[in-house]
Amino acid sequence: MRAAGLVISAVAAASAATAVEPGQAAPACSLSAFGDARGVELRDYRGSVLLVDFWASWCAPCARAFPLLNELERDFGRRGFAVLGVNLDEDPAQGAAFAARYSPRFRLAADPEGDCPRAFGLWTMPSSYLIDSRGVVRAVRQGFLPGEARALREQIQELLAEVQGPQVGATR
Amino acid sequence: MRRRRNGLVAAFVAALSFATAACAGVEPWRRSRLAPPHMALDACPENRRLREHVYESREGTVPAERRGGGGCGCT
Repeated sequence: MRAAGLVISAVAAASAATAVEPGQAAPACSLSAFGDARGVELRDYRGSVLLVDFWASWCAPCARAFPLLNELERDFGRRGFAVLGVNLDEDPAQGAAFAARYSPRFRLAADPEGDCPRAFGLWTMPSSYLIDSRGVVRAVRQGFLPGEARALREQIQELLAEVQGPQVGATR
Repeated sequence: MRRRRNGLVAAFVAALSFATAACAGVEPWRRSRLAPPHMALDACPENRRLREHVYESREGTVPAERRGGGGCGCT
């Protein structure tokens, strides 16, 4: 019985060990083009705060997250922040139809082979990773909970403040 | 006694290995493969509706799962 326990523990530990957690460097990902948007690599965003959101057309919570992602891009996009939506549909046409329906106003890329989510150790959909300007993952969100929007905004503001440094001449 | 116990453990691990070998993991971003209509518990809803229709016509009543009725055709 102890042997069976060890086998199960080893399998669980192996799967947990591959998941990227806050404080770890974001894996290098090369993403292919989505629609009119060209392909992109995550390291292209060094120096900016980046929210990587993995989505797919069959994922209902992914659709519910899009309005919030649009708002974040609108509110922080000019301050060194970007949202990158990574479509994981095997059929690009399904991803394109989904995007046409939900009108994302942030940059999209595709990874039909799933190399990038595999590198992140993604285990649920949707998942998003908040990455700081040095390429370090600072927050991981699994699933979409509207109630977390405020906390996410605060985290983004904190990371942007790290990039911009203390405001010169700021008064209390 | 100890040898027998070791044998049982080995047999259990072997059985567990065979059982898990039959499992295919689906990566989270590939779950669309589980979403097609033919993967639903009721894979052919149209066939079911047709069967129900035939049943209603022949029995003069409605299936019990749809609504209550005494079978007299008046409910």
